[in-house]
Amino acid sequence: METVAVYCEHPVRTYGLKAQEGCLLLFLECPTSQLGKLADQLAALAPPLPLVSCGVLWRGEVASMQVCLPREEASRLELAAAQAGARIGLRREASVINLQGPHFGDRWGLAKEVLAGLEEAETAPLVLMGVTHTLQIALDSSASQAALNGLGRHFVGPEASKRG
Amino acid sequence: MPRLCISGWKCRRALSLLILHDWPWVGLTALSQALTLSCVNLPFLLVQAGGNGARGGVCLERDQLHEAEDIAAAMSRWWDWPPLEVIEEVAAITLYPLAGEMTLVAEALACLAGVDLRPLAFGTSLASLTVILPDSALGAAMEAFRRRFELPPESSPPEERVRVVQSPLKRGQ
Repeated sequence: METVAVYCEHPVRTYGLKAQEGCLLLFLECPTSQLGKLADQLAALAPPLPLVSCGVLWRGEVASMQVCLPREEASRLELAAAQAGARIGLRREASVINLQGPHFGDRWGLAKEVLAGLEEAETAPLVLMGVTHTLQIALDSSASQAALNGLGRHFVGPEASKRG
Repeated sequence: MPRLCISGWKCRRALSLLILHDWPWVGLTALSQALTLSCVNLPFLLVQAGGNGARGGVCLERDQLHEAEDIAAAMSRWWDWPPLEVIEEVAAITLYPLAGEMTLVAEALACLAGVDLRPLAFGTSLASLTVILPDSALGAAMEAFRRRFELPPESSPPEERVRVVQSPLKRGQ
């Protein structure tokens, strides 16, 4: 089945534009040989570890994993990481902004709108991900309001759409 | 061990991956602007801040690779940013639901590590996770996931076939 959709939006409509606060962002450097062990430990945690976002890049023998989760849950992740021999490279109070909209995974130009908005806000993300229909920005929690202001020039949530 | 139940999965082929090492964020912004002018969609993107700039992977459709690669390579040379790494044939597997927990992520990573498969990139959305891996590893990864996860009956990963046409003009212009 093929879906054909036509979009021309300035600003781009999203289902919401707000920041999730109270997160902790951890960058883990894990030897690839130990990633399975770390994953097994995380899979076995009970109750399951709440997750805001996660990404991994493999570079040679090291997996660079970033995990964003509610601040109060971070110690459980840190313990599992230490047991698996992963090194914590960065530990930062973070906010996460999720941008979702129709066919966000299939439309060109959306990452450009995010990066332009952040640049106008004079802030840089700690992580930028575009996965299926979500664009996700993790940034230092002190920068979240500025980032929302900048992104608000390029994206518009449903309330503002109705007013417009 | 009981298998984790998931709602479904999808795979997408005919993708390529550009890997950036230590580019400044302004470089990534400039690249995204240039790719937009060429109507290049990025179905997967993961960029992490590092000590020397941004590093990450940008997925695009394979038939747009050479155009995108030329743009990125020209920018890299002009601004003296580190050269790109290009992986021509990659595939994406998406599993869902994420359910706001680490469990699916951990199970998927453990599953791939258990069969010695090393993906290229991995990321979560609000509802799902996507793993990017060499196209040659797609079959082995799907087989490993089939063994690890309890899938809905008769399910097989449907290949995504979505084409979105965007107009540069607003209706009526």
